[in-house]
Amino acid sequence: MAHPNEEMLRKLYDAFNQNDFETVGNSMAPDIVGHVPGKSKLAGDYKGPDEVMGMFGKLAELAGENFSLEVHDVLANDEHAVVLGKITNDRNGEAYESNSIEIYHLKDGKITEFWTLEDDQYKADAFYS
Amino acid sequence: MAHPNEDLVRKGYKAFSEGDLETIDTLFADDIVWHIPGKSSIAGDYKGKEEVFGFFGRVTQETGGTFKIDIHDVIANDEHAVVLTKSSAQKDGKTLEGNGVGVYHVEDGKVTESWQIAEDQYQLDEFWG
Repeated sequence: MAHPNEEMLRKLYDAFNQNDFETVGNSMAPDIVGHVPGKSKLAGDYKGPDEVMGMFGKLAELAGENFSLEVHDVLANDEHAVVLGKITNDRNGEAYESNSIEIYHLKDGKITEFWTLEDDQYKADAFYS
Repeated sequence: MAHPNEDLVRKGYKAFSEGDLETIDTLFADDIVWHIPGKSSIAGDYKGKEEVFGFFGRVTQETGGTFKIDIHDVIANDEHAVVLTKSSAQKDGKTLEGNGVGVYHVEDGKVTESWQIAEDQYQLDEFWG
């Protein structure tokens, strides 16, 4: 039986892929902090649910309609969850593929902090420019 | 009780910190592939135990033995282990300190593939040159 935090994250990614932003918003602690590393237009620290949702809006703008994150695996324990994924995209005829790792700090079933990493930071930064 | 793959990687990190390649040898598959992303002099894919051990030796040597990894948490299941880490090192008067994640594919009690990803890829690449 999967850890509750694993189930929560799997549901969250389903919701995200279905544009169910109410569920996405409900997963966040009020003092959530999101970290997007790198130097792209998406990079930075996002504090609070409003800023984090704003970041998702920016991602939708920069990434376009063909953005897809396929969950490869979810691992979780009481404090952390990690989602290993494959991102594919196609923008203006330019194909994009990368391995992603999202790391979550969790408390009482809510996300308090997260980091979004890709295995090729340079490629990601060039794409989200 | 921790998952066997969690014990495996914790054993591996401990052995690495003690320079105990003999123990690490028992934890790696013969055809292991070790991915170091980025653009620095250490970036690349290391194939097989000899290449990976050569890489470990180089890291130890070039940092004068100062390279250190502290485990923040380990999460594992039947296919993967993920280690959240904080690393530090010194080289040529430069200091490296940062968060990272080690992602491991595990099969039959051996690591078959690994990705070592730094939160700050740019800082890492600048450190290694």
